[in-house]
Amino acid sequence: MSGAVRHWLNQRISSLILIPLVGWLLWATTRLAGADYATSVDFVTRPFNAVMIFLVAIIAFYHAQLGLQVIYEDYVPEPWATYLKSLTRIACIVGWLAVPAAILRLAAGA
Amino acid sequence: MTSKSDQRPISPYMLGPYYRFQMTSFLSITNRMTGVFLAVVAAPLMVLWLASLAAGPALFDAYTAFLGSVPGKLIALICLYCFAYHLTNGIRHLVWDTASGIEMPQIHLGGWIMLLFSVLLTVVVWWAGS
Repeated sequence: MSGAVRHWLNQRISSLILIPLVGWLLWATTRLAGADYATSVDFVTRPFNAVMIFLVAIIAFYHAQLGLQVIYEDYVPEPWATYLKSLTRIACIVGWLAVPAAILRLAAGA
Repeated sequence: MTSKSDQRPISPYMLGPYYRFQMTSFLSITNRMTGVFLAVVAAPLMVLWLASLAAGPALFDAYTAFLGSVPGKLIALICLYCFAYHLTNGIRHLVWDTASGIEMPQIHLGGWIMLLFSVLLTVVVWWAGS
């Protein structure tokens, strides 16, 4: 399978998985909007919620990376498109590490 | 001197003064713009929320006070609409990927239904959260 086909397919697979995950995320934001510190910590450290936050972050950042890459290729001339692609990948990795790190720290303190 | 590659036709910009306004191209570019907004604004704001929670009550209270202010609420509302739009229009794109609903009348009808659902979803989620 060529790189472009793989990219196209991964974008669709991540979209499908994100439909229920984003539905959950929107529900979670209605529970957390205006919530105080203790309520928020309690919500985030419940095992099911922690797993959902982890999954939505991992897959959404990956999906964002794939989408942004296409936009760079369409509108940004080289070499800037390549620089932006690398920058996006770094930001994505930071997000991938920051989200589980924050959840684990809260779970350890709770 | 022009090389052969300079003479190749480039794809036209489907918006702006060069092209008649069309719902299809407008909804398509908006899908990209909402996606960019989610990646560049919404995702970092949500990661920051989680990071501030992990950092302790002082930072968390300061951050949520900002989110609860008028500018914070405005940004949150835009983020919510981007989620609603990108989710509903994304489902529309996934339907097209199965090679169904791709006749022009269906595309226009689907566009209006998607816009209606994106607004409804935004209203329902905002109402449920306040």
